[in-house]
Amino acid sequence: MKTEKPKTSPTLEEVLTEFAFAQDKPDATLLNDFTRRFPAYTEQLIEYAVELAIEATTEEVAPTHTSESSAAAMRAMSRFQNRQFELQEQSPTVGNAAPATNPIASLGTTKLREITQRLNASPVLMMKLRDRLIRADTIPSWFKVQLASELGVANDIVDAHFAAPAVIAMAVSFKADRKPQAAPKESFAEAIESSGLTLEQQTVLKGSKV
Amino acid sequence: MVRPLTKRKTTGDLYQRPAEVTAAIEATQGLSRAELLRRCRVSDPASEDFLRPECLVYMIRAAQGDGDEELSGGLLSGLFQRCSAMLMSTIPNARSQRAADARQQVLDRLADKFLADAKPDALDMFEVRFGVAFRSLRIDVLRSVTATEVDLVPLVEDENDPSSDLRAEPVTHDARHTLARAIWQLPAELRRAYILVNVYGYEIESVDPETETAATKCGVSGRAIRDRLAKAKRELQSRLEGK
Repeated sequence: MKTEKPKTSPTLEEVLTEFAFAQDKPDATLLNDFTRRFPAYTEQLIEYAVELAIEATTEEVAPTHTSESSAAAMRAMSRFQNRQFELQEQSPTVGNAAPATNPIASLGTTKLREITQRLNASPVLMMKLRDRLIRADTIPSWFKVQLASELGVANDIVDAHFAAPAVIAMAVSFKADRKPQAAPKESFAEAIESSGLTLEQQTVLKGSKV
Repeated sequence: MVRPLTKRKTTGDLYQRPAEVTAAIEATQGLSRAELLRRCRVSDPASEDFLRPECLVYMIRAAQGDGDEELSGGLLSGLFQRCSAMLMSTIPNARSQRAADARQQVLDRLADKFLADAKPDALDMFEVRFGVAFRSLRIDVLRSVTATEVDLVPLVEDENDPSSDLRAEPVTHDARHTLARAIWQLPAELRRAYILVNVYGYEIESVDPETETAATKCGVSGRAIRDRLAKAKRELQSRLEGK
């Protein structure tokens, strides 16, 4: 597991989270350790340790399902859906099941073939990019910039395209009791290896720096 | 393959799910949609069909990532039902005059973490140990709710007087919550002294200046800690007796 260089000044939230998750039941040894490591947060750590201790005593009973608890859950769900809808209205290309602008799908065959060649890609890789079957966080920045340039669109159009959910191919057939689902997303590296690219093309696509 | 977490500790290391959580997630990955939606409603941990809340969070995030709103919504609804039932036990009406409001606030704050504009790693800790992450959320809410409560209403039918020995575990669930509520409502310095000594087991003071004690933790003398403990005990007795 890769370890990043620790930040010089962790936030209070990070420190309190680490304290809460350090062991099942915080004790004096743990509290002493944390107040020594993070003296700037001594007050907050002690207060939080006190609160954790109080709350831990209240969790020893089974959940209580009642009509009141059910109604509260439904209110939370309703509020969540309203908030999610508002966000989708404000930013229709992020986290939205509705189709985002797809700058690849609108290309003609000839244009698509030209761009595919210039990107050192293959038709299969372009299809995966078009249908957002590659995880956005694994696509190198340089590739997205180059793709945006080839498509003649702004970088944020390409970013929004990849941030949207995967497309479900129209030809997918399914049983009545199951909604069709997009194939699991691959990483960019996995997509390169499984898209019929020559070794030379793979080297080019993998070897370029972000 | 189970998606790795991205939240990091202060050391720079990534947080990891416990092995049993990862195994439980892997075990769900071959389940059908209908099976997942059925099993997310099972709330008895002893049942073979019980899905750990860490798994539910993982699957909801995965479904959201795939744009599968039907599945993510169904699972989320099941998770909220479970959490709401947990809150009925951990913040019962005996706990606060604003218990219902507090429970709703906790649920809403959890829901916010699933919104598209939440921090990408906002739910990572809920996939490590859901109970601990949920407790932290509850503390945030109780802190604000308790701060605005003005007075106590006597809540305990005094069959087993819980004030007779404040160090002893209260006998009933209600008594435990009444005591928890009363401790929350103590002035901060009294609450701190009481918990550091009675729960964390700190000595009040020590002749060894290197030893950490309740006095060093609070930055006061041992005598001040003893005064605070006495005041805390008096206040708790008074509150628990409804005086």
